[in-house]
Amino acid sequence: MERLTSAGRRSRGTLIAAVVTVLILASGPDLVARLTGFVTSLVTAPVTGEVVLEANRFEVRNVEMMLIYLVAALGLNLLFQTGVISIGQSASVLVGAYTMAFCTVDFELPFWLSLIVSMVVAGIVGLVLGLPGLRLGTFTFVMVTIGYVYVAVDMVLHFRKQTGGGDGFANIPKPGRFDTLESYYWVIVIAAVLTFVVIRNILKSPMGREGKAVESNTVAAASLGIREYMPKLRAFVLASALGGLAGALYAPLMTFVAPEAFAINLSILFVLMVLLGGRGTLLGPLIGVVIVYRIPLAVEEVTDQPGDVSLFVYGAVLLLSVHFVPRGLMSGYWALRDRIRARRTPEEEPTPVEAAEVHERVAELLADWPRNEAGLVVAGAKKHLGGVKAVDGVDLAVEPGQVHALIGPNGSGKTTFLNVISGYLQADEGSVRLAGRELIGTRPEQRARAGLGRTFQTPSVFDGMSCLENVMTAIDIRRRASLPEFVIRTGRARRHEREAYDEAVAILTAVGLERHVERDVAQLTSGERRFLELARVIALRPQVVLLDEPAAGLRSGEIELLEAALRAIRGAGVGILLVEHHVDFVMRIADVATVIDFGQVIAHGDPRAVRQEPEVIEAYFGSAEPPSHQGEVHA
Amino acid sequence: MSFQVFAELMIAGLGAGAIYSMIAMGYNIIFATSGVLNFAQGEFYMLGTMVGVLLYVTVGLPAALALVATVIVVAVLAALEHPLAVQPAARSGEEAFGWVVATFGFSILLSSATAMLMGPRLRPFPDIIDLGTWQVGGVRIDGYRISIVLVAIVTAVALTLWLERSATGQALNAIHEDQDAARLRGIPVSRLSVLSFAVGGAIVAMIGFLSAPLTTASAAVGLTMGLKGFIAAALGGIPSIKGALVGGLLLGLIETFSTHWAGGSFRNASIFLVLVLVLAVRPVGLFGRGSVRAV
Amino acid sequence: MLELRSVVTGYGQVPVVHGVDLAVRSGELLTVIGANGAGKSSLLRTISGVNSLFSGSISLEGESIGGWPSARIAARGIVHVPENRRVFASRTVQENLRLGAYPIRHRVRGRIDQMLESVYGQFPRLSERRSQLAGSMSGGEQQILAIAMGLMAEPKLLMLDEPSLGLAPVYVDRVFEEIAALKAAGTTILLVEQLASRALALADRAVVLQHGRVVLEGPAAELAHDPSVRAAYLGSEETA
Repeated sequence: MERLTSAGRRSRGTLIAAVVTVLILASGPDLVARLTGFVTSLVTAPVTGEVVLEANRFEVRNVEMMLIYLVAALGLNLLFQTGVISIGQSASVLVGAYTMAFCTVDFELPFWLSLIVSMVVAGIVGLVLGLPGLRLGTFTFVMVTIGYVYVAVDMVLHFRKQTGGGDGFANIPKPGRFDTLESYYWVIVIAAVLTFVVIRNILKSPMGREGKAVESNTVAAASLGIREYMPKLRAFVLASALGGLAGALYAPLMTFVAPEAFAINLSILFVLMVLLGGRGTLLGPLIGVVIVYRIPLAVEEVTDQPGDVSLFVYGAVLLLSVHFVPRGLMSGYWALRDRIRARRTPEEEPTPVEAAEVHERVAELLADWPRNEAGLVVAGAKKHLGGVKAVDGVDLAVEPGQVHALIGPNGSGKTTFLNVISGYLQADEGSVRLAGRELIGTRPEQRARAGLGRTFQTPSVFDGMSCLENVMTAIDIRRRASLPEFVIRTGRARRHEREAYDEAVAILTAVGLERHVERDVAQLTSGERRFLELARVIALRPQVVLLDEPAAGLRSGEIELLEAALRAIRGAGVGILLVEHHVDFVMRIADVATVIDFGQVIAHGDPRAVRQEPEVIEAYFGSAEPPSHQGEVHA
Repeated sequence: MSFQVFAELMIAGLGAGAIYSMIAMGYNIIFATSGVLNFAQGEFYMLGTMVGVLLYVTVGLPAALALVATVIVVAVLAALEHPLAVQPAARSGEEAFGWVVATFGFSILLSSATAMLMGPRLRPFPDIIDLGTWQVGGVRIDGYRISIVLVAIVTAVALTLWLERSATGQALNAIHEDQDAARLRGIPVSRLSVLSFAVGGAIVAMIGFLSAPLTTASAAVGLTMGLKGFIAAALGGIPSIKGALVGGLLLGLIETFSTHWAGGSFRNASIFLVLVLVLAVRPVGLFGRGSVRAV
Repeated sequence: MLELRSVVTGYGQVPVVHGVDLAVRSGELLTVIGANGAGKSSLLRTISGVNSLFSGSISLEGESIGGWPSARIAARGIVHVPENRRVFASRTVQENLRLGAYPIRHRVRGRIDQMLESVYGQFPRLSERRSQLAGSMSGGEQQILAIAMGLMAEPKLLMLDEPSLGLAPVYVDRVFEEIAALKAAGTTILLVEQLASRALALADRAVVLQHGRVVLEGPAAELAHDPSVRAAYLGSEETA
């Protein structure tokens, strides 16, 4: 199988674009300034009637500013990707800028050391805010970040003796060897490129996947052992540190910092840069920065009321972008490119997969697993929901290597019961033991790590990720390398990525999704999503699996494949608790069945026998008299 | 602190707070139906002042007529925001971010267009009506400021009555509670969303016009006022109208008192501290109910 | 009165109903039964205009209504009583009833109080609880309220989506009594249900839906004795 990077063709294009950008940047400030000036004048040429190819100090400074903004935008992008909204990035930039000023001017520390100190300080402030703040909920946290900006500016103004207050802090030096505008360019370029590489490495690591998972579906993320809070905190600290870096680079560039430069307007600009380009993408922030930064410059050449006309153009661009490319320019570009590509290459006919093949492949995959001896024992589970006894004293046991079906009419409490077992609801009474270990009182992520896998009524796959990344997120639970290792790509980190990639491909192939490995989840049919969810559960290597109506929405051919996969999983010793409405399917695969209605067990035993019991028939049909059935032989 | 100082701070705080209350009420009406926290809300305030300047000062219409005309103009612009910005964002299905960009884009359009048409300078706004200043027990009471507070209270009462008593108001409540069920029951959700934008804009424009003699009229004031109104709404609890009134007045009081005690540098810090504390204890705000779907 | 031809519909891009033909005659009670996920709710939502119609046609009394906004369809007389009751919990019973009449409120401006009294007459239990918050009532009472709300819109066609869902048996009895009374009064009803036998006992005709397609239809009395109906729910005998 052709070895593609872990986000497929998309990243190959990005890589090329990035390499080209680096090459352009490497050509030096003069050339880059000419290029940006030229492109801007091209855009305004219809109005001005002229095109400019010269470089000047103003343009060079613009280029350096854009790169600095890019650093801050990349950090913010990482944060937004985890679903956290911050309108406080300018405060991190302020902290970085002023810290830089203090270090280099007041303490006369070397430039490079000051740079690092500024980053660290900004990161620490981010940690202090984020630790409590992120527990408060997304909405409240936005308020915290807005407050951060206002308070930061206020503090600068208040401590005017140290900061220079409203008059600003002047004479901030550049580093010795790079002390001209043109040579300082190289400092900024290196910082920007390094930031880009770091962000890229994070996005393509378990941390990046965790962030996307948490943003897309916190419930499914929890079922893979990912706690919502951690990726968000990590991202916020990193974003703050990168904001600080941007500020630290900014101060020597301008040689002067004043608080107005870091007001809430700047924060909003950063947000726009990220959203316009497309959050969570690698090139998005670059595009966003360029557009947002250049518009006022372009407007300046065309009118003499540059400030307001620029803003008007901003507003129009934003509204238009929402109309045409609501997920940002990058995704708009990809959608267009995919559409063109689809028109050119016909959709391949899916090669039909045999159920026996699926069974064999999955069994093969699981053969390496340690044989599972753990069972699930639920005793006396009770849960009241809004005055109703949703689960009213249920005992149930799933042996290793057994398929235990849980059936009952709509509203009987099956899904509530599963939620109690998996920890999304805390039981009022009773116990849930997995391999003898009590799970009551623990969170869903902890139960996943203890070996409990789960699928959901609606296939809970992660949008915005490829099928491959979806499955790799489950494999990540077993990683041994830490975040810094992934950032610098040590051997251990790279090995994890490689092995996770291979394993994910193998699992996806086993369940018949090898065509879709690199594809975004959005292109899957609902049946394929179900199999993706199943692949993810397999990748988790659970001891017991809870399946919530896995056959819903599947065609009969797909149900056969599902059955084959479940048989293989059962064969590996995994215990399966299967909630299902599709009765034929249950009859074929279940070893034992429990029927519940109104939160209580009304029948238990062999599935075929249970089906004939009068209470069961009544629960489903609503009358004690089953419709007459000719030809049935009573034993 | 002497009683006189206390009372004067109270009046100043309530006077400023009344403005924030009205902006917050606007947020709440819009949020209740569309589930959108409107970034452009502050611009409706700005337009209330600037269109007011245009009609009352430049054109010279009588005050009452200018007020009504201003409110109508802004209500129409606000209603336009729904099809121009909010609906395309909702269609794209991108939960939080689409309409952040959309409403912010709309707000920039409004503020920059106003600046282009009317210039960036501050505009003086003459007094509309002289309600005098009284001395009560050594306390200076500015009649106009008190009347602003009364306007806010009356508006809150009127809005609450409308929401609770009229068929349309009940329909708005129903949409907020369960938009899908409301749609299934034949309630025209889109049309009512446009209406809620118009009402939200109208309220804010009204207070913009009425408070312009006390504050400044300029094209740039939208962002700050919008933020303050947002904080007031968050404090009081979205989407409660009562909460908006209380939250706004409370915000005004925090502003004035903290400035008096700790100086201007700690005004914002105090506001955000109180806000975060309130939200930490009651995530839905003082009088809020349900989860804040937005953001 | 209502006619569906080759209706294909679903959620988002995913079709759940694959070409359904259906007709409801004036004054009859037609029941649509089928297992969970068969597409019953999706079908109702498309008829009332909330879900979009992918292809096919829907007409009410000869007038094509596919693609109309839901408010207009409701005003025309198709009333949808949603699955899971979905009454407005923070509103009182009376407010909920008034909301039920919203689509036709201009038409009935003068007589809304009369309408309320008439509904209270039909449902004395609701009359006792006029000022009670809908959210504090039991499931069965909420279901009655949900149906009464539907009646406030003076329906030509009343569509009930799984009224028995999640209700204790005693409430199911009450709800079905009310439905029987409505039928006796001549209301045209489209009843979607999972409790097949109860629905079949009440209906004139029935349609069985499986995986988004009509697999069986005919007079309710016949289908009540048909083993294939049981098979659609509890599996066929052959797999025993």
